[in-house]
Amino acid sequence: MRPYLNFSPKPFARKDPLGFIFILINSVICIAVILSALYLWQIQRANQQHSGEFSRLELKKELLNEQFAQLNKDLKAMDLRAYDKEVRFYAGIQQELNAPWVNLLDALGSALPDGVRVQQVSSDGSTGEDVGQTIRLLAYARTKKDELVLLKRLQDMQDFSHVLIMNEVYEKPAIMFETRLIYHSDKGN
Amino acid sequence: MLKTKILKQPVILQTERRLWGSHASGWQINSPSPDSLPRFSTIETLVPDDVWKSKKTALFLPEIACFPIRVPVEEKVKTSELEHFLKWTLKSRLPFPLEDAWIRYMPIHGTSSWLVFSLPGSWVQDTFDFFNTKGVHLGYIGTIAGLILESMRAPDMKVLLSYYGYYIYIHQKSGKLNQFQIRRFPIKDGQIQFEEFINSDFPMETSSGSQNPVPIYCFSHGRQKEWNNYFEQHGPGIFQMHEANENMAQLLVQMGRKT
Repeated sequence: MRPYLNFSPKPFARKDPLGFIFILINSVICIAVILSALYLWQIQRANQQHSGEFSRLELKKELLNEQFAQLNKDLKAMDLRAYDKEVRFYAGIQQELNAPWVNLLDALGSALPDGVRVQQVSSDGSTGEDVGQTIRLLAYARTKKDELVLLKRLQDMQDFSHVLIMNEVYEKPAIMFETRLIYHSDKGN
Repeated sequence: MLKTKILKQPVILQTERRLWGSHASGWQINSPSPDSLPRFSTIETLVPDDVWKSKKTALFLPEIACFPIRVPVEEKVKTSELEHFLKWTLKSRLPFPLEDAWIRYMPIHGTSSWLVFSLPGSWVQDTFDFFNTKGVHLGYIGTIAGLILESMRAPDMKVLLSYYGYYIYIHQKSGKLNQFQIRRFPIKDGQIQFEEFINSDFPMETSSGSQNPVPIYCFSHGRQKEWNNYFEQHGPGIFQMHEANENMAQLLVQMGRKT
């Protein structure tokens, strides 16, 4: 420290080069500190913003996870196989109901010879709009001849096509046979 | 020699018998009241008008007028209490009331002592105010020794200030005061007794033989001649005379120009 031996109540301003350097260095340090503080503040601010976005994304992810879990839960609860089976069941009923039973039975009745008795007529569903309705016919014939007469008549009729014997059992005193055929509801009219 | 801007201003220097000024081409008047502080209000008309035309001036007083005293300070004295302690120690040693004393001080390196300069504050304030009313800023009031102690930056510097009746020896090392000695010359028949001065009075260390000569700044015409005679007879040895000047204030200003 420089001694101070001046008695003047108002001394000349001391222009100390070391003091000037000291002030200069302090000023530079102050500026550096201020800039560093500003930089730090900006980093903190950016960090807070990113942190906020990250939190929002985390929250969104959690919500989506919850929704996904709920959907999974609902999906499991739905039991798709049972639903599919149920749909098929109701679709079958619908198909049964769609079959033109009155016309079909009229056509079948007109083709039946005396020696044949129809046990069961059922529909296997539509084969397509252009093709027709697949019909399964279970009947009993007194004789083979009666059976063949029925089949021949069905084959000759425009209302039916693809008349095939699927099964035939000889049971005294009758022959049980199962026929499959396609009924064209629009051709007979 | 001195790195200071104070000597770039005009200076007024009081020695034991004269008042010197560096204004214009330099001036000097006989001190109306030797061995006492100058009252400029009473000598206003005696000094040249240039003094009152200058905007700034430095006033240098003889060291002996500032009562340089070495005061031992105990270690337990706190820095904040140092000034009061020094003043209290000076109580019985100052010729003016302690309440009026303004002191300036600095430590003496390697010792627990402080070198203290004192002036009556009322005189300092009156003098400053008087110059101020004249439009002159008296920005430095002190001594040559004080300015040297403030300004010297040499790693190892010794200097001898020679006045008419006394001398001051200063030894500074690395900016710290190592030695401060103020003594009267051994005088016989009005002449300095150099043999006695060098061999017994002068406090210079003699242990190392390869010491640089101590520069002498002499602020007395009469003593300058004696020193010159001494050097003519003995040549430079322990001492080395620096160039003289007819005007002592200008000699002081020269010290500021020397590097």
